[in-house]
Amino acid sequence: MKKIFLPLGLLALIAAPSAGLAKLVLDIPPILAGKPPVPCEDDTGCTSGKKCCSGSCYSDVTNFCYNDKVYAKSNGFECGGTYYPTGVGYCCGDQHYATTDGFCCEEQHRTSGVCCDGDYYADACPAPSGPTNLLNDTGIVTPTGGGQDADFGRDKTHPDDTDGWKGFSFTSINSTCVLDNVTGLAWEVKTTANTGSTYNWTGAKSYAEGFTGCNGSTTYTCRLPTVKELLGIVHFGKAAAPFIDPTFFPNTASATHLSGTEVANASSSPSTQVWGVDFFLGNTDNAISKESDGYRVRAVCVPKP
Amino acid sequence: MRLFVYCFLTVSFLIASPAFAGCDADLAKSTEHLTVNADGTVSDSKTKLMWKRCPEGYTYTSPNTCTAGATATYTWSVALTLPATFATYTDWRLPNVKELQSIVEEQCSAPAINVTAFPNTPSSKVWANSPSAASGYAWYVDFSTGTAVDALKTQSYGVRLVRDM
Repeated sequence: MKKIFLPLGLLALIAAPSAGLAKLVLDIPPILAGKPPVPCEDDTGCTSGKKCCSGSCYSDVTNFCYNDKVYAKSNGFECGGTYYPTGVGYCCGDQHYATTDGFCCEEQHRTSGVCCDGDYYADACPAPSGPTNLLNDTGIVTPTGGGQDADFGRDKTHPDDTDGWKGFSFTSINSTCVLDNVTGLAWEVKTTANTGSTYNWTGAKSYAEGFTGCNGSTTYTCRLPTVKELLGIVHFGKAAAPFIDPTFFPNTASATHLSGTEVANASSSPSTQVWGVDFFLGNTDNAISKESDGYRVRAVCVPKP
Repeated sequence: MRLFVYCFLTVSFLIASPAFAGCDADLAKSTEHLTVNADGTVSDSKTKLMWKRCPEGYTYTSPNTCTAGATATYTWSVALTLPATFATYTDWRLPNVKELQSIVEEQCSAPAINVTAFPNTPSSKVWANSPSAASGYAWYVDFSTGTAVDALKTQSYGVRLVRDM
């Protein structure tokens, strides 16, 4: 249950005190321990897999030659065309900074504020307090290549499974409510007792608007999700139904769930049909009569202002 | 009703079909997050996605016209290989099924899209780059109704490219 809005700037500040000591050794190359160096004039004078640096052979698999000195690759990094062999400090916008000197956010050097999921804020990370309008990724991570779904998106860039499958990011609010950190929406978590209950549209609307399972320190306004919101929690990468993250959305029926979105049909106003999403396949359905019984419901909630 | 008439006249659907074609309400409200750019692209400030205004196989003519060429449908594997360069950008790609469904306009039917932003959109099926859990199938969105369904990859459907902003 990982929260994505960790104050990364704060972490940098916590890490900072140890840097003062390290800074002292910035220009002192680490001495390569072990056998005496094999002398050489150029790379051809070294055995296979080794290169020549300042008259001595070294392994370029693990080491690096810079300004005629040998450094361990694992220790250093390049910044703005210069190699920093001991790895002390950090690189931001091609400029090198001491570890104690602020942090890097949005590729700019900062001395105050915080970095939240890659975005800079002058004071504190915002808590997700309602819809972000961002889309969830699909959950598809194979096959890759050739511009298919798995080549792009949060499933690739944020593949951590502890907060939900791959690119999904959920935080449990309580046993009947989960927050989607990507979309900012709080969702009802079904129970074994209520997952089988079915409704027509009016009944479902009434159920969703009366849902109180997210309430705690924050009070939420709940309703039926739009068809887009409902499709947003479909996990298309699963091999079998129900097509939803099984950890954060247990007890999900592999059946059509109602949305609050009415079907365009101006010839009979108001519309007689509504949209739904079938978690048996993940498809949307726009041929659901408002009068028909037998559909599942899952409330979606946003914090009251 | 006034809003509906306004929208209907503006959009000028002339498709004679027993199925409803047109829009239920004032589309202006649902276009606030869409910015039509001069280069034939549309920026969506909500989803942070940029779309090509015309489907693949169509030619864009400023300011608001898409003209179909000889070929405008592709099998799924061919759809994945369409050129990624347009309007100074080189990272156009097929949208995934959720991205493609994000431009469905549920207030409209035949086509279920905002035709102010996406002119001359045919009421037909468009591929997503998402393979289905069913072997040999991939997801598409039918812009006649707006539904997201899967179909055999060997079917020939339309393509609308997207890129991350």
